[in-house]
Amino acid sequence: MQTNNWEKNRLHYHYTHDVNNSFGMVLEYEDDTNRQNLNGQWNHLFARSNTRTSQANLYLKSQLGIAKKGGRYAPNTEVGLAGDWETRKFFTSYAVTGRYANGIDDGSFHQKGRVGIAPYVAGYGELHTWLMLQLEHHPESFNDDEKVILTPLVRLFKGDYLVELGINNNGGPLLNWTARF
Amino acid sequence: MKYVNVILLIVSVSLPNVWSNSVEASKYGEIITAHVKGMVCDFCARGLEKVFKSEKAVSKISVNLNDSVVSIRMKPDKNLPDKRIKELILKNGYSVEKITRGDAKSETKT
Repeated sequence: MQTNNWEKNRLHYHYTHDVNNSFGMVLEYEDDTNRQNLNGQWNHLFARSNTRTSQANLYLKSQLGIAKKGGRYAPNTEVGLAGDWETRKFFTSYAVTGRYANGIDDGSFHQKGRVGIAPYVAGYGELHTWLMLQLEHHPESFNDDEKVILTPLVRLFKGDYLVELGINNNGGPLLNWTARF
Repeated sequence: MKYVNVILLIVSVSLPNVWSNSVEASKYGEIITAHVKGMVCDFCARGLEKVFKSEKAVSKISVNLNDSVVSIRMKPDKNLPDKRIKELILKNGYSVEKITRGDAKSETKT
């Protein structure tokens, strides 16, 4: 999985151990602050609701690793809560994340929400298209125009491959892709 | 005697069909249909397809998101118990509404 946006470039390898737990490695580079993170990640699904037409999930996401900034290294920790609800036509998600790296980051948090709609309902194996709106809140950002970021995006997936393309309100691009093995 | 003749006639007409159906099932393997809850995302349902394909008794699997149904064709003379089917679906994070075999006559609600 790779995430590239106005804030960071992120490479993420994830292994799903069972339905409730997945483990991964995350390598991040943040453009603005010239900060790098190498973290191990554990995602824990602690609640799921299945109906014939929808699925809802609640996750605990935690990361532990090393942050590097300006030649300085520090232990890096991140903890977050995430939830989503989707049908074949509508999608919503919300995530809040806090992080701390002693001497590099004295504690910060950000939150992100998404709403999405599928313009058509595709069958299994066909090309799926979602139109989404992503709203991010970074209260500790140094730049005022980066405290709240709005990103319209298109999510496309077919088979084991997913791509997201978007441009935020500051003109910053978003390119995410995920491949399942 | 008239009734006996009628019964014999019905039996003689229907027996070849019954025999033919069992030969078909034996030749192609049984079709099991699992009605699944929570299967709304194609990208996520890929995992379900993979775990069923890795079962030795399974010949083919097809996923129908519109009807929330997974159809599993077994290899000839092979079987997959309802318990195992339910286990595989639950392991992928979905819930099982019911499982039907061959036709709707044999049905297990869960």
